[in-house]
Amino acid sequence: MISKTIEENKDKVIKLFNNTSDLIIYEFEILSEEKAMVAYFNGIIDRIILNEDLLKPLKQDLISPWDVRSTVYISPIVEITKFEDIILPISSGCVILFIEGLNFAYNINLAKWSKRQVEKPTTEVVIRGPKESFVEDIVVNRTLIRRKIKNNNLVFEDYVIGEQTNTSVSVAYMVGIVRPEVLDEVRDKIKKIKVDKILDSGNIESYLIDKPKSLISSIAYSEKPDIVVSKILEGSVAILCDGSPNVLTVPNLFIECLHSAEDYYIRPHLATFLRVIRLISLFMSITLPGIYVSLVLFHQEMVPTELLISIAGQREGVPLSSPLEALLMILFFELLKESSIRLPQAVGEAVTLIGGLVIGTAAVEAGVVSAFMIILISATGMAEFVNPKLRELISISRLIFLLLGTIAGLYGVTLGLLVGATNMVSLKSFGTPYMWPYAPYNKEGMKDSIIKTQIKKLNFRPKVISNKDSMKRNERIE
Amino acid sequence: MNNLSKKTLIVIFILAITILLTSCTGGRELNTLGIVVATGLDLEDGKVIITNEVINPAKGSNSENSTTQENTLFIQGIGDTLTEAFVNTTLTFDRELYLPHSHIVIFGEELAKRGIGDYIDFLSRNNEQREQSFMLVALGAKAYDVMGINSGISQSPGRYIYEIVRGDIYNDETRSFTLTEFFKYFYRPHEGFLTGVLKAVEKPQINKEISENEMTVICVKDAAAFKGDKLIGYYTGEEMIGFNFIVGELKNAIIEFESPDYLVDKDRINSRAGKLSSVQVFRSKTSQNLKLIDGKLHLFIDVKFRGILRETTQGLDISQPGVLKEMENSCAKVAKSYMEQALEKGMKEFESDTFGIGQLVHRQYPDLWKEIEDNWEGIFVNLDYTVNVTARINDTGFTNTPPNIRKGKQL
Repeated sequence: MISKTIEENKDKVIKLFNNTSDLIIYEFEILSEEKAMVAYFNGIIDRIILNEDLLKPLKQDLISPWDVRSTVYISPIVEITKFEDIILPISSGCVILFIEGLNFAYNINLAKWSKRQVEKPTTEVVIRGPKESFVEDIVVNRTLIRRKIKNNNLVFEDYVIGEQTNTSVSVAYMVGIVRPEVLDEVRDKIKKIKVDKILDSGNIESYLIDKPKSLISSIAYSEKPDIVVSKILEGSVAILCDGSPNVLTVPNLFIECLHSAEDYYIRPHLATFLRVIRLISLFMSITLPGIYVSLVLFHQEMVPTELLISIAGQREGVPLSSPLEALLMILFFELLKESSIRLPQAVGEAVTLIGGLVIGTAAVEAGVVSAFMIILISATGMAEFVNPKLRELISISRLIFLLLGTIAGLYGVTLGLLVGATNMVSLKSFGTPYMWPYAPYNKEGMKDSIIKTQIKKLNFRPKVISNKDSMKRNERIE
Repeated sequence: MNNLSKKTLIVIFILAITILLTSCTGGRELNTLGIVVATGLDLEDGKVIITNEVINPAKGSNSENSTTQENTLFIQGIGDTLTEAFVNTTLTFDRELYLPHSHIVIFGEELAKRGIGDYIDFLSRNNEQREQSFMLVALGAKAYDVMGINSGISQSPGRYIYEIVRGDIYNDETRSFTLTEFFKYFYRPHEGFLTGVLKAVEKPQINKEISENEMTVICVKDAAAFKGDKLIGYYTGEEMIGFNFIVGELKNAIIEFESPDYLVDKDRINSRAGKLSSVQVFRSKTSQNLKLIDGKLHLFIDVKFRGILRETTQGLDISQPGVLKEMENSCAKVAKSYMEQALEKGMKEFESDTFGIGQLVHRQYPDLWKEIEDNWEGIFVNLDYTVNVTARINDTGFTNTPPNIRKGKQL
């Protein structure tokens, strides 16, 4: 409980925060000569407002401790009666005001700290379309979404999770479009999270996934507000996490991994073509090394004679067997990729240059690998970058398919595809079939799958995602 | 949980079984294989000689400074059977011979005359032999005599032969048969079959930078006719056009013919020197029909074809009405004579039904076929036949009137 005397409160606050050095406690007298005290953390509040709009009126105008609300014009001002309740506000940029004679404290939100500006997206770059991206601050992120949906049905629900970090997490959805059962599942899962720290939305993700062991994530993420907004408007639930520029959306469909925000801003012909390219590149990036190895190890008769002679010529004198050669090149490629991401930008370019040079020409001339393998792995690598959202799936399953191709040839690759397809078809993301609209088939959904129809013909929201009562896009939700 | 793990175990078990039961052998690295592009089979002193043309991949990769001789190696094996001969190559060669890319199988003439029936078992039984390989007979030579000649652009002699043989759609003076087609005709009772031929032809060397005066090229004109499983002779190029007409598989042929004299305007410049016109047949339709006339089988062959006038060297004014009609008739006459030549040769000289007429009898007169089946070759030799040809020249090309007509009267 909050004491009526300032001295006692001061000792309690200092004790509560273990005498930390960035806690500032300032004692003063108000106009009616009662003692008062403000407590805040240095650096996360706006000190100009504190001085001008809080301390100045208190010292000059406050004639009675009970008149704080009529003297101070800052909104919001909240009374706190329990002593423990000051921890969360004070840590997130509030000033706590104690006045002698009152058995409660005032909590005044003056949060302000230096944060990153809204910048261009770094991972989801588009040529046409909005170029803003989420930042680490959840308040800004909420604003970015709110500014796009000027509607009374957009709702944010706030949660605080993380036993030690007390991170604020927001769940955003459209009332009337969202599916109640999906929303309930998200709420349940978030409430059940018990973990000491939430530093990124990636930490939450693992608590929301239905099948944690699967290679395929049933949760989508994006750093572009327009993508998140369009998903919210289709009935998805967005989960914002303080400190993370990536906003999660559930449920996730396979086909959405092949979509780009730009598809909806450009003409449908090119969008369809690009989606086909993305699908092909997904297959390529996963199966190409496996198929190559099985062709040269098991099915030499399937390769056209001229090509086989050419491959045989390059293989001549290469000491490694084809699977090892492929593995080595994949390793080189992963090294190159990892080093160019991790290193500072200036050095990263140098690494890419040297790596490209060494792997591209020197390795072939030294006879360590064949030139055909270089072409193959570079093609695989390029194809991988086309689908950055499926990066985790691609990198791992490529190795699996390489292994299958080495053991059992094309037969093994086919088996692998079969198992993979079965897995994908049986996967559900928050009750939504992952492979919709292909399995189960849906005619309306096919209009925006690999084939992209004109926007004006997409009159219905995805059947499996949005609320059954509000399928039509061209009607206002009441 | 226990239930789930049981399920997982069953799935793993099934997957393991499906992998193991295919009885796949392990993979073979490319640099342990010798890729064969052509195979030659010969008989010498009762022993079989197998000649394999193997690609030397190390040389093939940088083709700028390597000649075709370095690109390929010729690996021979001798044995009592083909398999023995084939396996014997491993005694002298450092790679395992790999047959699926061997698109060419060449029989030496000696072996073909002795009968190839004993040796095709290897080709059909071997799991590596490609069924789309072409079967050819070396005309008047050993198989290995026609191998190793590369006068084309292809990288190796085997590919050179393959490209020529595969190009048979451009010229119907030959016919190439793949193993599949060969077996199709081979198993028909009381019938003969054909294979393509290869012959080495000497030609003068045109390129003055090369010191040798002559060069050898491979020619695939003509075709070899078999009776039973033995080579009995060759159809010439013209007879092959006739043959292809009869069996209805003519794709592209040139027919040269002389038009009747009265059409030729003798007063025109150059009109006396030229004798022939050429028509390229691009579409033909054949209907074979049998009729019993006075208890004797009579074969009717009706051929209709369309062609393009490619060339005329005679003083013909084809813009005149009726001229083209006469030309069509002359063209049909020549085509008819080709067919009759082929039929005569097949009946009288080879006494081998290579045209599939026995099948036709079987289809049209099943009861009669049962009676005469065993005596079919005797009947075929004396079979009466009528050939009707209808020719149409659809297109006369870009020029209507030949230049020598337009030039005017001879001075």
